[in-house]
Amino acid sequence: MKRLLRILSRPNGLIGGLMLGFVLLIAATGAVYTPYDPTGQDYLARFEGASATHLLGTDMFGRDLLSRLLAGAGVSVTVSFLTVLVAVTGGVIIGAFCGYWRGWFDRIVMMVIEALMAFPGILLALALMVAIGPNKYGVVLALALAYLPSVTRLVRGTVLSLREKEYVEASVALGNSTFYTLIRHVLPNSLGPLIVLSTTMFGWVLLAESSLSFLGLGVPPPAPTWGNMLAEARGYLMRFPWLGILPGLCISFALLGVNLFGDALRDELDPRNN
Amino acid sequence: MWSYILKRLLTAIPTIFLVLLIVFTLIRLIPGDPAELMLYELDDPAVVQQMREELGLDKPIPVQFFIWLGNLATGDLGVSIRTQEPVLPALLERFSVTATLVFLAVSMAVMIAVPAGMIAASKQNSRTDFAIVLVAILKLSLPSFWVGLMLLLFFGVYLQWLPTVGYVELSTDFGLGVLYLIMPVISLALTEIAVLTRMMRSGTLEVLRLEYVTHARAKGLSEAAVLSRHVFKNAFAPALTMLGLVMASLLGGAAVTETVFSLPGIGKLVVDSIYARDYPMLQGALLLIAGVYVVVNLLVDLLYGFFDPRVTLK
Repeated sequence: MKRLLRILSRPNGLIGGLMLGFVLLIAATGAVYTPYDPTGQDYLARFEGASATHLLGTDMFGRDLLSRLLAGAGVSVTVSFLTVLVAVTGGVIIGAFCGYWRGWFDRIVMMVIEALMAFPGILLALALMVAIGPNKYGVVLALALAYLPSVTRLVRGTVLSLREKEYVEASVALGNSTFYTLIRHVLPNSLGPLIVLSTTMFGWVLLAESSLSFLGLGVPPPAPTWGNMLAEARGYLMRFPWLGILPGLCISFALLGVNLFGDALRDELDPRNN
Repeated sequence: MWSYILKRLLTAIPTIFLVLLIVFTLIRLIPGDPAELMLYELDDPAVVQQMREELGLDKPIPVQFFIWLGNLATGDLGVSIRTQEPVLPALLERFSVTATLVFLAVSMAVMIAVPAGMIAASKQNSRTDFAIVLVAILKLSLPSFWVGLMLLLFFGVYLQWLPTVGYVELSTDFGLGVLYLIMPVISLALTEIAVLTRMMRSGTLEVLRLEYVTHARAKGLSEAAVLSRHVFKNAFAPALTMLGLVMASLLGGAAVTETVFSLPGIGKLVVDSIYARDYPMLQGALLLIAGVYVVVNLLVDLLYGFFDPRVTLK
């Protein structure tokens, strides 16, 4: 709590935190309430400009843009959050295991990780998406697998250096089980860099989901995400530019919040920067 | 040094082998095979089966893998299922487009970000520093494909200053080729400028604290001379590693930018090949991308010694 206050006392932490809070609020709102049905089509009201009935106008199917942006925030944020959760959980388990026990298991896993890192993440996710099939959880799984290697490497590296520390040796000497030592002494001390990485990753995933959608393999329509709204708008941009400008601005706003907050977080938590 | 290079290339072989194995298995897990997709309209299982046999897809995956490896050893990457062209020349042609794009974008990023980062650091906490940091973080937050679309809309459609989509090779018509490349290069470079500016700033800040810099200043050198002659090389070393990673991932991952501007690059080729289940082309392309990743990282490590002579290659 004290730390959070310290982060928020930095200007970038405060502004980023407020922006991020706003995005989360919008996402939560979009999940429970939207002025119109975000997938409800109205062919008599296509491409309408901003008006009292449709505050931000309508899209090519006559769907209310504001409702879609709100609902899209919900889906985008949920997908990003779940992806980070899966990638971090998986990465921590594999990384801690590799770093603590080392040996042949570690060597094999690290070889696979190396190989996975030789692909650009977006292409890996793309291939996985085609294999899994287009749905919301497919996106989560594909992106989580694409980002798993970075988490694994970070955790393994930290655990490797921590396991030589005296307090870890002391815990083992006292007769504590390896599992207990790992959970009680090793992992809490690698939390700082992990939180920083997770925050940055949240931004990456948000961006990657929209890139995937743009290539036609993200969360499938009609469910709105900021990414697939942008992708759908592509064909109509010349005459109706706001259809592409608005979702792009939303993505940028969220990313800016994540980046500002992430910077403040890194300055506070990452010991290498102190 | 040669033995180091040889050693690095040899240790890369298992990695690449594994990459190939993953690629090979992964794309065969994708539902729908090329024979089915091509003969979709015929709806005749017998013909599809015959096609499968012709393409060698009826054999078990491990067998297919070793046949492919054997052909690879003789330099034969096969023929594209989608376009019937030999894979290797097609790959090289597409790769040259991406390489031009990435090379220009990274050069632009270095030319802008290195001075910007160093100036920001040398005037830490001033208004200039604040402005540079703010611009960098703004750029970092703009999705590159969105920037690409907005550039297209403004300079291509609204002002009509630049051609919108397509590609002309620089060797065919240099002037026109450059016009086609301006917007893709800018949209690709923006993120890299941001990342590199931040790296350069923090790297410079670290070096500026060192005693030899104080010494150089005490000798009466101008601040510009201190920065360019004494600080630059040491501050650039960590940024170089980053640059290598970024470049390697861009060479394979400029897919989105290439799609926005309809550039015939390798990223777009991968996307198209995934959709068409073009196994030979996809395998070749990913092999090339992984190979480039290994080579670029090797080059970076070799260059590292130049910027930071304390690093010795073993």
